[in-house]
Amino acid sequence: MTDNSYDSDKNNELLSQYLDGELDSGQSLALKRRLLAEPELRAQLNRLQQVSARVQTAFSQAGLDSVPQDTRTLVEQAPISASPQLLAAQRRPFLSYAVAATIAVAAGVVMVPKWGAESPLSPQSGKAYDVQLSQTLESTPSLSEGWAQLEDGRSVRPILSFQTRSGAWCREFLVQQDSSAQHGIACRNNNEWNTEVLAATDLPGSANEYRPAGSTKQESVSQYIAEKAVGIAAGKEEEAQLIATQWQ
Amino acid sequence: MPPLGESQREALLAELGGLRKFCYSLTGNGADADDLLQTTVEKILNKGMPHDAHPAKWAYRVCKNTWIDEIRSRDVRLKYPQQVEAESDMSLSTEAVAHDERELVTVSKALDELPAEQRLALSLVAIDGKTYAEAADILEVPIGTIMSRIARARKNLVASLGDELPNMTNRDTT
Repeated sequence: MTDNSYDSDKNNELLSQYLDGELDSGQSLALKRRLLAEPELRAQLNRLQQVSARVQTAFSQAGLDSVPQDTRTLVEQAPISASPQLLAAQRRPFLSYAVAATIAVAAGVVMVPKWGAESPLSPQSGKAYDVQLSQTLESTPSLSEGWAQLEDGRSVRPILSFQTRSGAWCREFLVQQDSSAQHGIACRNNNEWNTEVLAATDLPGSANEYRPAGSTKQESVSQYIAEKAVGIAAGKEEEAQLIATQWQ
Repeated sequence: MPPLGESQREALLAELGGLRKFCYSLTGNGADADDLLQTTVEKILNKGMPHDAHPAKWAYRVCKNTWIDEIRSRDVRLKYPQQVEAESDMSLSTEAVAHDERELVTVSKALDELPAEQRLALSLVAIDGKTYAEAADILEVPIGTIMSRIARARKNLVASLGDELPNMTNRDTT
């Protein structure tokens, strides 16, 4: 390194910043004035510019960004760890539809306080226990379409099953009656499925299908899954095995 | 650390071309670039990335660490001349292409002489078009450090390339 100003680290940094467009307008203007007045600085800029252009040109030739097919395939075929809700959305497009912004309590469906429901109904546990829903979740595989019919006229569609950090199994489900529908999560405890969160939703084909999403109650389902779920949702075979072994 | 989410996988796929070019700028030849890219991808897929990680930045960071930790620890330089020769033999289809490839070899050799940290910073900014802030984020250093590394890298390149073919505007591209 010499003591000449054009060769100083400071000037090199300034000139490099200028070449890379990292100077603001005031700094650029000040540098341009200096370049007019300082031939050596101008010469140094030219040298840096030529070297930079050379590097850029050399690496602009075609093919340097060609990715080997086996590497690309590796990424394309890599398993993903979508959250259970994401997996459900992939399998069941209706979950990505807009949800209602209001809470609706379906007849016969118990709302639970802990994760977005309105009022506690189970003094002992603080969680809702709905016998018919519990029985259905205990024995019905997740469905991508169609419904399991309950004796009281409601229809239930288990969506997927996932495990919480504590090891408990939970199931995301839809329940509908007449024109209202809810989206919820129930978790298995002491051989019962207790509803942990329940929120109003709209199903495809309903009048509210394209209502803007954003219900805080609906989000509570997502939040619950995000906070509680571990791993990925149970696959079809694993779920069948769980049902056969009473979720043990 | 969790495996990739779907959006992260898509983002990684979209970034592979840029990553491969970055790998080339670090290794100086196609075979090592492919190796580095493959190792980077395997590490990302095996170790996953945080859900809130920016996939591109994360991938560049893994690539950088891989290059420093593994690729560069091999005797890449010994392998280099043989590889260049092999690649040149394969692709001398036209004079222009031959010129471009010779130029790439020359520039790559000059980059190879730079200290690793200078080469990384210059590759990200001058070749991949990252801003100083993005490069600082990827390399996990302050912006001022990026600034000085790039300036020193250019100064070193002037010393090694400055007296070779300085006239860029009259290059024969036919």
